[in-house]
Amino acid sequence: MKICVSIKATDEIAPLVKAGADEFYCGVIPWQWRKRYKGFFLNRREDIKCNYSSYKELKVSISLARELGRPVYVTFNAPFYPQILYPELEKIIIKVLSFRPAGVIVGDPGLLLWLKEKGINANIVLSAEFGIFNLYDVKCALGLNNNIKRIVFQRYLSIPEMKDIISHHPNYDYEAFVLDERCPFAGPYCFASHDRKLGENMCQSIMDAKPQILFAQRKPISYFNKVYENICLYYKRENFNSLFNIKGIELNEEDWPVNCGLCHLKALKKAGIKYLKIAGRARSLRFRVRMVEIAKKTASGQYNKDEIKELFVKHYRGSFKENCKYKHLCYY
Amino acid sequence: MEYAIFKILTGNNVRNEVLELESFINEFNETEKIERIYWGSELCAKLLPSLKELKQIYSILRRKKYKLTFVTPAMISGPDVLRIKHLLTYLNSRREKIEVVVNDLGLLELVQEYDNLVPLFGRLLIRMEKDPRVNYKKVDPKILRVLRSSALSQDELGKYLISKKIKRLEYDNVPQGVNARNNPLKFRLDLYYPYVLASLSRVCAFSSTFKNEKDKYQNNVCQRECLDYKLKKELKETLKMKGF
Repeated sequence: MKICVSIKATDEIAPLVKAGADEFYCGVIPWQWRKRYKGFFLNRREDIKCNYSSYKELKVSISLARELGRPVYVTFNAPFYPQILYPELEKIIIKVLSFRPAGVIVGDPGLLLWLKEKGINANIVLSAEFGIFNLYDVKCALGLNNNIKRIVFQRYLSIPEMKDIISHHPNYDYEAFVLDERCPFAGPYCFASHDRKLGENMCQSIMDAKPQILFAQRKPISYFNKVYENICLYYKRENFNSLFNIKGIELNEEDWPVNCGLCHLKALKKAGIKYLKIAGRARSLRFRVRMVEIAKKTASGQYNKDEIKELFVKHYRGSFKENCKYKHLCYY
Repeated sequence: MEYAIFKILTGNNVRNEVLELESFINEFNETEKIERIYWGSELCAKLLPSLKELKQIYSILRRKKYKLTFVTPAMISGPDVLRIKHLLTYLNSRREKIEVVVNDLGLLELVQEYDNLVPLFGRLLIRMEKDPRVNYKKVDPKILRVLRSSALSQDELGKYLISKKIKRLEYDNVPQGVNARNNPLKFRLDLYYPYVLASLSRVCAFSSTFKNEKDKYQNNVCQRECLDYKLKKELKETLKMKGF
């Protein structure tokens, strides 16, 4: 199984390759676009810091990765691109493809159709933002563009659901998330702002707001209690890292436990998953290197669940090593 | 202009659901006439009616001279597709054209198999910014222009939808407004009012209420606990939202 991780600068490539990365994905927001639209609309990560900001550096990165035998995929995975963006979008896509990346990552049905209409023969990785949940979704996606070579599953698809889809379409490659950033909301159906300039992330605002529990009718106190416990656990699961601060400062990523699906690699492999995605374009290089190291070790298939837990303890300091103690962080 | 009511389940039996609906319609009919009822679920396949319930719904609404639009959900898993197929097969066998709101692209493919069903492109497939917290008055006009557009202003997608027998698109009542003039393929537009659906999740807190920790938040057994209780959250910003 191959490990895919994000890059946002050329000097990140060597340490990530050394840690075990097999391929990279990245975004680019060139200055012409930034001038007009800031970081918005070009890909799902709208923070400029999470993307390449110049064509020149992207070109160098793609060349270097190619020399090292590591493909680079460039994300154009914004949920939608209205017609008014296409004149500029077309220039960017053509320019990026001239650097010969391994392909593009696309989630918008409209962009898939446009690439086909224009006869652009780039390899396409179907982003999780497209939303594959059943066999008919796959049929629809493959009908939109026949250059789709790989499908990235949505975070909340169960392994049996993945297996069912793969068994019906065995001629494609499949990718699943294994580490970090498991947002409670489903990407293809999240229409909220993800940039602090337009508004804080919706998921964060909702988690931060105080809930009221409204009942349709009178219930015994034991029922209220059960509901309350359940909601508390939901908060713990979805908002664990954001609830704490130390001396008024949010937790450092060194102290973060991460969402993890490494115990399920054997099941994922058996289901037909070939690529393991590490989310976290916003994370520091150091953090990503650590995630790649542990993913690479476990992807070899030599370790059982207990040994994976030991690996965490042995290799990492901070709270990261205690990851496996907390079941609510599990991906699958 | 046609007005319709979207009936969201309250957990009563079908007959009581219709009674409740009628008392609401009578109030509303003083100003505008309601002729169509949207029934089904856009959020979760577990909230769809059973085949028996759907037969009852169809027969009661027909007797009371309401037209039915059947609403199907997003994020449908394989087994739920089978359930929906049964429901669609029943609706297709009626002697009239019945509208089906599609909120999953795969389901749009499925509906093509039925001659009597008229697909509507549901609001969850209209990809555009739907964030009610943002103060759009302060947003740069260049950016606002994009935020008022949707994926459907894109030519290739529009043509694709026409090839899939889509004539109507369903929009949310988004605070920044919709640029409805940019409609070169002349789709008919529907507007949902008042609530905006900003985000969906497959992690269901409600169905986990009585499960032990290990089994919580899995997409399996559901007792429709969401009909018993809801979570309401007030944000500082203006937000009209129910549940999660």
